[in-house]
Amino acid sequence: MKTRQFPELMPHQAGFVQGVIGANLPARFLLVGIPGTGKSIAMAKALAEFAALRRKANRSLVIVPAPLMVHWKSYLDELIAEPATIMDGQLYRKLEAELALDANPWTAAQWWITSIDFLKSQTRFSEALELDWDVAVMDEADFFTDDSQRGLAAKSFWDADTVLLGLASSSFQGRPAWALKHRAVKIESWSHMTLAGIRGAHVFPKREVRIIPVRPSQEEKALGETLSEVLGSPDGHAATRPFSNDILFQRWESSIFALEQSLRRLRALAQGTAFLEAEGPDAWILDKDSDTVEQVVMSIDRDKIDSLLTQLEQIAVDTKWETCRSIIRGIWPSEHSVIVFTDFADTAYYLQQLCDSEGWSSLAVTGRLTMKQRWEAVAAAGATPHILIATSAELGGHLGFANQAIHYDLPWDPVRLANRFTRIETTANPNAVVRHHILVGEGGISGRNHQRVLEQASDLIGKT
Amino acid sequence: MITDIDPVDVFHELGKVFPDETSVVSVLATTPVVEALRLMLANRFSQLPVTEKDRVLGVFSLWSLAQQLAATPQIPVGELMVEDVLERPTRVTVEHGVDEVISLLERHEFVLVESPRGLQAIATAIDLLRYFYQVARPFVLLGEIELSLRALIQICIPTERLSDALHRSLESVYQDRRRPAPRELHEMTFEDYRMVIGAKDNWNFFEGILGKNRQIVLAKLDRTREIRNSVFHFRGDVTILDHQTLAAARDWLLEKAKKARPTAARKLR
Repeated sequence: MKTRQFPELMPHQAGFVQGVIGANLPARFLLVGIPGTGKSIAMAKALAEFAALRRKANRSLVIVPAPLMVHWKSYLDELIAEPATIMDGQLYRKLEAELALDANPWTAAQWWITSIDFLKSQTRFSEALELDWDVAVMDEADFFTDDSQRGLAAKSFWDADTVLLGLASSSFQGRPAWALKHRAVKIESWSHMTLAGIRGAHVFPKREVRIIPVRPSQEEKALGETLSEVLGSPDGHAATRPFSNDILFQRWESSIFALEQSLRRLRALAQGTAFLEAEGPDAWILDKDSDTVEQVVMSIDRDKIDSLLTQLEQIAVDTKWETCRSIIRGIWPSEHSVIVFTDFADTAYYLQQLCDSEGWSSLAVTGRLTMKQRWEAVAAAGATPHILIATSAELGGHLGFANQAIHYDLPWDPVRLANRFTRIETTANPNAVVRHHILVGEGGISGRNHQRVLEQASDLIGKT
Repeated sequence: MITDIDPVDVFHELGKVFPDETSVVSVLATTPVVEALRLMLANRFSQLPVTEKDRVLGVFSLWSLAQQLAATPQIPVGELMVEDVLERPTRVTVEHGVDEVISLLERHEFVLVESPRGLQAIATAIDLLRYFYQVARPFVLLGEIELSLRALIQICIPTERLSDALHRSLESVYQDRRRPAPRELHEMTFEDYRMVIGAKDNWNFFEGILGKNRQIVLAKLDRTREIRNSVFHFRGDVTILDHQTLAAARDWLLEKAKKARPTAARKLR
């Protein structure tokens, strides 16, 4: 994997690193800041400097969300002499097979990076906590509660006098957390960075937003009406409408391809053709890319699914794509990559196929790729202009090289939209302005609520 | 140095059928048979391992109970403990090959699967059937998908126009590759079928059967091609979603094949 150059620290990051390496032991720090403020970079540097200067990091453990593991490894490999090792299921099984029966796999290396999900297994969790760690870095500290596994891990590190460094993306908003209870934790907050300027410097690029209305064809409108009849209108009472129906509406609003794929899979499951792991009337399909779980609603009978599919096949022109295509033609080719966001992998694949048919160089980053592949795709888009189609979740990297983004679908959740903004509008983005083109269909949840979602997203991260 | 690759990991061993997190319900030796039966009924088990101080003594099963009752019908079931009604099953480890275990399961109803951590699972024929189904299913689906695409091309494009249709969709691509384009359908790859169907100039042949939106059909076939490449090049695990996507594509093509039957029948006359 291509090594990237570790970025120069900005003043606020350097200040934090200084604080960590000069702290009395045992040191406890909690770094709070919204995504894009450079917490991971500052923390990695703090960890590396602490190890080098204090010589007190013989055994270090970094616990982060899975998509960020490769990210962290690339940072630490540049900063420290001892290579950091990613502990995942495959390596764990290998070590189990190779080591003595009662040997702890975590003794096989000194610098470990692992994921929060990996440690959900009680066995692995216990094994990790058996050892005396010199330093532990834990991400998503805002989700630590006293009875959560992460909270228990933090307490265990606390009791063992491990140097503890936590990262959080928000203030605690009422959640009980180990950090708030212990005054010895130094909380470094970068929340003031939601406003432009630290010491007068303009930190984030300016955000410009264009709402692009998408006018559906008669056939598309007719399909939307049939969908409302079959699934229950999205305006209807939420308690009487299965959650899965909302997911189908979101898919419909994302792309006709995403809806088509979903209906086809539902049909295959209803028919028994599809391989099922779970048994019972409701089986869950994990959609890795949107972090949502699509419930198979067996009560939608096959005849209705078939009629929706027949209607869908009558749609000759995808007006949403036509609208998006005209936007891209206006901004492409470009010196910078253009990011196209969608919440659904099916839409991402569809868009990549469409871009390829236009002869545009494109990359799709979805949950199907390994972490390394995602990282490499993002790095490729950073190095040379591409149309980078990304599902919002689990990107595994910031996109602070782009100055244009197309939001092919608008998430109903403002936090997801805010995450998309902050992926691009990072402190490392050299562009003065980032333009966001948000496609909004007439009617539907997105059509009616886009202003609210936009305002709430902006409130979360601040207007720039 | 820790490396990513474990060469043993590619082989089908029992550890893959019963991964680490499998848990086994067991009973202590002094458990009354009636209680054990209630547990089995509640969980639809046919057998239960019997343990004493973390050691597996044997297995209590419906078969072992039947044998005991036949041998000593005078003893009421309510007085029996599971340790009185044990069978000593065949034991294997997680490192046993799946094919070895199939041979054992031809002779025994189940085998105990052990690992360095202790009892890992009770393996039955259905467990292995399920495992092989999962392994083989993508290949079966892809076979159906590819053969149906070949058939649809043959049905939808009039015989006298087939050669031209193949030529205009494949010739330039193969010229870039400096190889002759295939002339016969059975010589073609999945990607070739996709290009033939998806070519703008050929679309009018398929529109009536496959739907009006060419781009959606192309995207479906492209998605299938991606999964196909992962399957046939043994690249990583095929996910549940991939299984379902393949099954959905297969069903879609079956539907289209049925729709194309009248056209096929007319061609034959």
